[in-house]
Amino acid sequence: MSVLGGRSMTAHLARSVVGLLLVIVAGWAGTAGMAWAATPITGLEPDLHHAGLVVRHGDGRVTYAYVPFEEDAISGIDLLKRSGISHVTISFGGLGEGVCSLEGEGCPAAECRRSVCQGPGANAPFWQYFRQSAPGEWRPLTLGASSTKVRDGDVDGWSWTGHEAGLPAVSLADVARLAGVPLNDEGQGGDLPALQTVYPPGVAPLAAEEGQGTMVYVVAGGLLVLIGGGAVYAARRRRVGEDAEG
Amino acid sequence: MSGHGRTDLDARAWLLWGVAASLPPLLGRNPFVLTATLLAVLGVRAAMAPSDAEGALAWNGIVRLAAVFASVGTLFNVLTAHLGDRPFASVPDSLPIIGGPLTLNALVYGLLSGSALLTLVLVGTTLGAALDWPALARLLPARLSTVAVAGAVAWAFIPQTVVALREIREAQAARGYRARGGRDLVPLLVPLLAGGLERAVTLAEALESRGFSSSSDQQDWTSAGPPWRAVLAALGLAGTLLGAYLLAAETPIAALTTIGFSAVALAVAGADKRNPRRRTRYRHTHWRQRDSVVAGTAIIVVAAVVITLAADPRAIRYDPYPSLIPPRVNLGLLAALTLLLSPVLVAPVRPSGSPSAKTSRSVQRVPLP
Repeated sequence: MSVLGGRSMTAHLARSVVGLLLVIVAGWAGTAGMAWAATPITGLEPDLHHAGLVVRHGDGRVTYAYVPFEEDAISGIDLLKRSGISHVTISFGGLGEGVCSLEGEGCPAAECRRSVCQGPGANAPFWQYFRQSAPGEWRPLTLGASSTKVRDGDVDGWSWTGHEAGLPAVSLADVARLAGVPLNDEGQGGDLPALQTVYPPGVAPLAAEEGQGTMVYVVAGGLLVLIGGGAVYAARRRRVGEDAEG
Repeated sequence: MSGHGRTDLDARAWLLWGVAASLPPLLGRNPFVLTATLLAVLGVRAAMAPSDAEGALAWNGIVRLAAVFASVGTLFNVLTAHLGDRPFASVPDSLPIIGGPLTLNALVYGLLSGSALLTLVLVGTTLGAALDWPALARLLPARLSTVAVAGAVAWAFIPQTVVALREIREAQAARGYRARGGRDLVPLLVPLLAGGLERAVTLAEALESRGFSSSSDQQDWTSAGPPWRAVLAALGLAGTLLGAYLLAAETPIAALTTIGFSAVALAVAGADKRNPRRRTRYRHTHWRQRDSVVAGTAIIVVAAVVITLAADPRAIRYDPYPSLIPPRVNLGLLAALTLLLSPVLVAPVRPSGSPSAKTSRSVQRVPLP
């Protein structure tokens, strides 16, 4: 009886598993079918949108970035990340991300976490986020870059400043031109982001800092070994003293 | 008590050493500087800290706790700081806070911060074990004696609690009691709390009997000196705390200025010759040559750190974001940091079994000034 009961239960389990698998496969097929049905039958690539980004540094140099994106809208932080501009951001949880440094200007992450790089002075500079509502009219976006929607044709700006934006008046076509992107007849750029930095008179590109030679690190390692040897010597001296006492 | 603790070093020399050893981990995250400081502190701790079961257990528990916090902090940093150019894994973005790329940059920063925390705790525990708190309390001016007493009580609180916890657990284990859940902690915490209160009352009575009460000041203001000295002392203490915060907030110039003004304020407040309280002492402290060596080397280290911070800040500060670049090395600073081993080299170490060390330990249990 027990054997028959066991076989019956095994068969029941097998039928249940097969049924469950069928349901999963049917669901997957249905989902895939709907996705296929939703695909445009024209087979054309989805339209690319474009937005501009202007980054103004404290020394006056300005970086222009022309960024394509497929979505209808992306956040200001996504625009920054997709632009290719080197950046450091930190998360403030539900408030989104804060920008600590752009292209090497800003503050370390630890300081950024405390004050978002803002110094104690009233006009102490930090990375401020703006959007150009009309050419030359930059208004600050106080909600932060994570909460801002960037749509086709928008031009956002970041400025290392404590008060005024100081950003140039540019259209999206200007940004594309200054970033070195050729536009087609429809005024559209390519599908890859591009950026370029423009230096004002008297400002030179930042020279890459030269690394220290290997010998410096070897000597530093030797000093660390010396200190470690001193620590071991101290411990052994202590142990010998205790053994002598014992 | 001779004024020199179990290490035959003056309390002031130890304090200067503590300041010098604490500055590098407070001011930056340069791996070379942190490693040099950590090794030097470990060496001094290995030579000077007590190795007897009671003292070691009390302070090693704190070090272990710091190591746990450092590990948790490192893990937290890796999971939440999705910065840097060296990703090694990824967490699905659908997970809040921890979703995103995990980077080596965050791991390095977490490890460095953990090392800094561990170094600071090791400095504190080494001072706690080696410093002669009663001698330090006697060195302070009479007006600041209550501050010294409060510091001594606060510093002794954690190791005393650890020792008491161990004794209670051993006593309960000897009676066959085993804690299995949260409710079983009550029989452990109640005697711990009662024991702590009892120790505090005993300590307060002992201090009263030794003239560390402030009642004389309250009864006779004229004999205690003008009240502005008390205000100055309070301002000096508040300024010292503010300076410590500014130092931790990586604003060294403002911090050192604040601490300097606070030191002057405390010195003026403490220079009160009219205070009627006089304490007799059987043996006076003597500043010896070895104290000068330790204090001098500590001052050299502090000067090297401050000068390097002003002239070559990246040799002290290091930020692995956004690129994991090799840290900058300042050989002069590293050479200066070797001087942190000076207590080991100049102070004769008393083994824990020596009579003088036993005397020190007995005082350490109830830190009476």
